[in-house]
Parts: sequence; C-alpha cells; structure tokens
Amino acid sequence: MNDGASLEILCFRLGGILWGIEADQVERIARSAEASDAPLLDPARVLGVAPSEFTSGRRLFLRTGSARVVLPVDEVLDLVSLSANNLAALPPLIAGALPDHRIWAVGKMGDEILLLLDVATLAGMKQSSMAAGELNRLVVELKARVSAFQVT
Amino acid sequence: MRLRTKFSLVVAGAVALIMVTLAVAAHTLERRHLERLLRERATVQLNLLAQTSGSALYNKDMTFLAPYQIQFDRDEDVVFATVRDKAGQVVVEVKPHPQTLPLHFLLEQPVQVGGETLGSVSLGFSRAKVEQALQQGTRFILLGAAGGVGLLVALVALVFTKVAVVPLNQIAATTQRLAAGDLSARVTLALRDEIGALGGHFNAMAEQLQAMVERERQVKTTLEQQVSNLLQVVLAASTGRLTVEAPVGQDEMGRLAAAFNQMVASLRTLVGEVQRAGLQVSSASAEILAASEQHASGSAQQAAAVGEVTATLEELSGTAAQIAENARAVEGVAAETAHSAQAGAAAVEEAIRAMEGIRARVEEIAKKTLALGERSQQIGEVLTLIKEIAGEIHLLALNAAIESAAAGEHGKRFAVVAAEVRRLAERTRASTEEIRGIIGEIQTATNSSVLATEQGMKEAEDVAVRAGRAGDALDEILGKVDRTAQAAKQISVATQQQRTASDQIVASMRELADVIKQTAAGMKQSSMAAGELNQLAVELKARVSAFQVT
Repeated sequence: MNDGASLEILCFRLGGILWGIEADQVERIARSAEASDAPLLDPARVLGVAPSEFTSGRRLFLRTGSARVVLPVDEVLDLVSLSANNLAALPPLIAGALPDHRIWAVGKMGDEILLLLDVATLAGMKQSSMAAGELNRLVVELKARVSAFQVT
Repeated sequence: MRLRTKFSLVVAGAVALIMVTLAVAAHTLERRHLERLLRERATVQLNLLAQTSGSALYNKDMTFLAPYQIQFDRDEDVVFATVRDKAGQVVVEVKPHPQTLPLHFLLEQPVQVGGETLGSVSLGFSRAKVEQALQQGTRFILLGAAGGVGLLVALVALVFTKVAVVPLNQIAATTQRLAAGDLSARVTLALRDEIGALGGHFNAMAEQLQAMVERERQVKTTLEQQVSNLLQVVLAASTGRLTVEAPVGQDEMGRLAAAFNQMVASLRTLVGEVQRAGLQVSSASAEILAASEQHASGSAQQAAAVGEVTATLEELSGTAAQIAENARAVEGVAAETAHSAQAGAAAVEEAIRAMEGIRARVEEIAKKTLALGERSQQIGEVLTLIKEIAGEIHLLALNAAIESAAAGEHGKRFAVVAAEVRRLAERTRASTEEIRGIIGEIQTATNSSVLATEQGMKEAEDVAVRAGRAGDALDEILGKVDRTAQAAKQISVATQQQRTASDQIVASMRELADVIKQTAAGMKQSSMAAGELNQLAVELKARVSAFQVT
C-alpha cells in the first residue's frame, strides 16, 4: 500500500463491466430486497447497462456531502487499495465525447479495465437528458478504445 | 649210308693207318740222323772255341776270340757262346744271349792248358734247321700218302661196285616188285658166286609164292559166292521181311544159315507180341494223356480262382485293418470330445454361478449408486445454504471494511480482520463452487453408473440364459459322443474279428493254393510222362509195323 497516494476502491460488476467507487463515498452495502430511504438510480439510464436478472444482486448506498443515492449492482467483488500510479485520466477524445465527468478515471485490475465512477456527478444527474442508447454506444466505444490503451 | 660208301671208308681207314705208321717211322729215323750231324758240327765248333779260349785266358787277352765273334755272328746255327773263368764268372760273351731263345741244345766243355783248367766254354746250338727239314719231309710224305690213299680207294670202290653192288641192287629191285604184288618178277644173274646162288634161291621162292596165291584165290571166290547168297537173305530180314529163309547146307556156311533161320523165327514171334502190346500201350497212354491234360487245365483254373480269392481276402483284411484303425481313432476322438464336453459343461455351470454372483453384486452396486446420488443431492442443498451464508458473511465483512475505512486510522485494525473474514468468505464460496462441480460430476457418474449397472444386469441375465442353453447343448453332445464312442468300439471289435477271420481264410487259401500248385505240377509231370509214353507207343508201333510177320 502506497503512503497517502493510494485509494480504497470498492469494486463491483454491473452489466458485465467492472466498476469502482471510492470507499469513503460508499455508505453501506445492502441486499436487493432491502427498502431504500434514498433515490434509486436506474443503471440503464445513468450507465447504459442493465443488471443481470440471474444474480442475487446488491444495492450500494452512496453518499457525497449531503447527497445520497442508491445504485443496484450485479455483484460486489472486493474492497481494494489502488495506487495513484495505477490510475489514469480518461483519454481526451473519450472525455470530450462524454457530457459530464461521471467516469473520472480508469484503472486496471488483473487483466480487466476498471472504470471509476464519480458519485457527485451521479447524484447530480438524477434526470439525465442523455439518451440511454447513446450512452450505451459511447460505453462500448470506450471499452474498445481503452482495451488498446496501456496503463502504466 | 650205302654199301659202297661203307666199304670205301673201311679201306681208306686201313690204308691211312698204314701210311701214318710208315710216316712216323721215317720221321723218327730222319730226326736222329739230322741231330747226329748237327751235334758233330757243334762239337767241332766247341772244340775250336775251347782251344782259342785257352790261349785267351792264359794270355788274358780276349782279342784272340775276335775272329769267333765275327764267325758266330754270321752263323745262324750258333745261338749264343760264353767263356767263363775258373770261378764260373762270365769272362766274355762271344755271342750274347738273344732276347728270346729258339729251340736249341747246350754244349759245355772245360778249357785246359797244360793239364790246368782255366775255365769253361758253353755253346747254344739251334735246332731250327733240323725242325725245318723234318717239317718239309713230313709234308712230302703226307701229300704222297694222301694221293696214294685216294687213288687206292677209288679203285677199290669201282671193283666192289661191279662185283657186288650191281647184282645186289637187281635182287633188291625184284624183291620190291614182288612185295608190290608182281608175282611174275624174277632175278636174271649169270654169276657163279654167292650172289648168283642168292638170285637162284630167290627165284624159287617167288615161284612157290605165286602157286600159293593162285590156290587161295580159288577158295576165296567160292566163299564170296556163298556169303553173297546169305547176305541177300539177311538184307531181306533186316528190312523187316521176317518170312525169308536161307538155303541150308552141310558146310560151315550151311550151319550158319540154319542158325540164322532159327533167329529169324524167334524174332518173328517176338515182333508179333510187341505189336500187340504196342497197340494196347498206345491206347492207354492216349487216355492217360487226355485225362491228365484235362486235370491240369482244371488245376490251373482252380489255382487262378484261389489266387483271386486270396487277393480279395487280403484286400478285405487290409480294409478291415484300416476300418479298425479309423474306428479306434474315432473312439479316441470321441473320448477327447467327451472329456472336452464335460469340461465345457463344468465351465458353463461355473459361468452361470459366476453370472448369478455378478448380477447380485451389480444390483447391490446399483442400489448403492442410487443412494450415493441422493446423498450428493443433499450435499448440494447443504452447499447452497453454505454459499448463502458465505455471501452474507462477505457482505457483512465488506460493510465492516467500509465502516473501518470511514473510521480512518482507528478502524484500520478492524479493517484487517474484516479483510480476513472477507477472504475466508470468498474462499468458502469458491470451495462450495468447486464442491458443486465435483458433486455434479459425481451425479453424472452415478447416473451413467446406474445406467451401466442396469445394462450389465440385463446382459448378465442374458449370459446366464445362454450359458444355461450351452450347458444343455453340451449335455446333449456328451450323450451323443458317448453313443459314438460305443459304436466305434463295437466297429473296432467287429473289424478286428473280421480281420482275424479273413487272415485265417487267407492262410487256408494259401495252403489250398500250394496244394493245387503241387497237384498241377504233378499233373503236368503225369501229362508229360503220358505224352512221352504215347510218343513212345506211336514210335514203337511205327517201328514194329515195318516188320512183316505173316
């Protein structure tokens, strides 16, 4: 673990993609059946992916400042400590194509790309104007591009 | 050697003996005469040499002897001349000894002067001239004697021939003619001496001989006539005409004819009897011949038939032996088959038992396998529970970790525990997944095992059924093999008996064949004998028929 320069990231799987959120922005993890006292985000709308019907599923209670949202996910994997050196900013072309900063960095876990989500942006875009289809297209493109990109 | 030659040789020998005696006597006398003359001459020479040697010895001057040396050198009759002193030493050789001494005689004389002996002289005198003269005389005598002898012998031979040889030759020639059969030959000599008398006696002997021969000729003619008559009768009889009869007389020939007539009569009787007997023999031998030939042909047929029967029986015997052999082989094979079938039946029973055992085991296995499947199902349920629990633990551990992270520095120790718990939950989940996989495999395996055991059970049942059928078939085979073996044994025994019987028959047939062969040989001999007898009878008949008896 690097001194000060490392981040605690909670990794989870949603729609077949590996995502990550900083641990201090996660309030708790709960079962899908549990009732939520905060707004529930639609993954298809905010991330362009749908949760799998076959997984038991979890709900992440997220919090940043005073804002609180709930994101349903397929599977919570682990809490990992990532060095800042293992993180990189989005390539400018992709960053330019996105309307906001909901994905603020990319990392690598094993052979898989880890997309880091910004909770503040997710909380602020409850009513996103972005079409789910377009976002989905963008994510696929991103995935393709990022796979060719080497993270140092 | 001829008589004249003999006589001439005798005469010549006698004359030669006389001549030689005379010649030897003349030779001896002449030799004596000549030697006396030679000795006289030699003595004269010796005396002269002695006298001169006396002077020379006395004067001791040998030149006195020089004239003798010259004289003796010329004289061939003097061989050598030597003068010696008193001691006998040679003083001088007046004529030295020649290398080879010719035939000579030696004369010695002492040399005396005034009664004193001074030495001696010796003289060798040659006899060559005497020998030469004697040889010439002898040659003359011998030549004269030879000539005289030859002349005398010729004269004697001439006279002897005239007086003796010619008359003797005439007698000899006459004798030769007489010996050759000329009985009219006679000697014609007009001599009154012994040879003339011999000729007369010879002529008388010839006359006597001629008369005797004439008488003998007359007797012979008569006898020849009688013999010729008898010969005609005998010739007729010899051709078989035994009815002839010779004329009988009182003389010797007449008695001979009577004896002949008697002989012919006896012969006539004999031939008649022989003719009758010959006829009987002929008919009998013909019958025997026919019978024996018939018998011989019958025997040959019998022998051939017996030979065929024997051959057939031998073949039959061989076949029976082969059948017996085959039957024995079949018996052996049947025994082996029975053994194999028994072993097979036992094996089949064992197989059925084993199959029953296998079926029971397989059933048990199937039951156990089903139980195993059920148990693994239960394990799967338990695993789901464990997995859920592990998921819950994982969730709790994650939340704890988040809390500890939020607690900052104070939550760090707690975070370590939470991470450990999380890892354990994760491992438990992975293990449950692994176990689930294994259980899935076990369930798959048990399913296929159950299927396999069911199939195995079915097959085992099938096999048991088939083995049962095989056992039945083997039992049936066993029964049939037993019957086959018994049949083969019976065949073997029967063929053995048959073989023994046919062997006995063959032996009997061989004996029969031998007997027939012997009989045939006997018949052949009989036939031959009958044939010969018949031939003899025919010949006898032919011969006897040449005689005329009536």
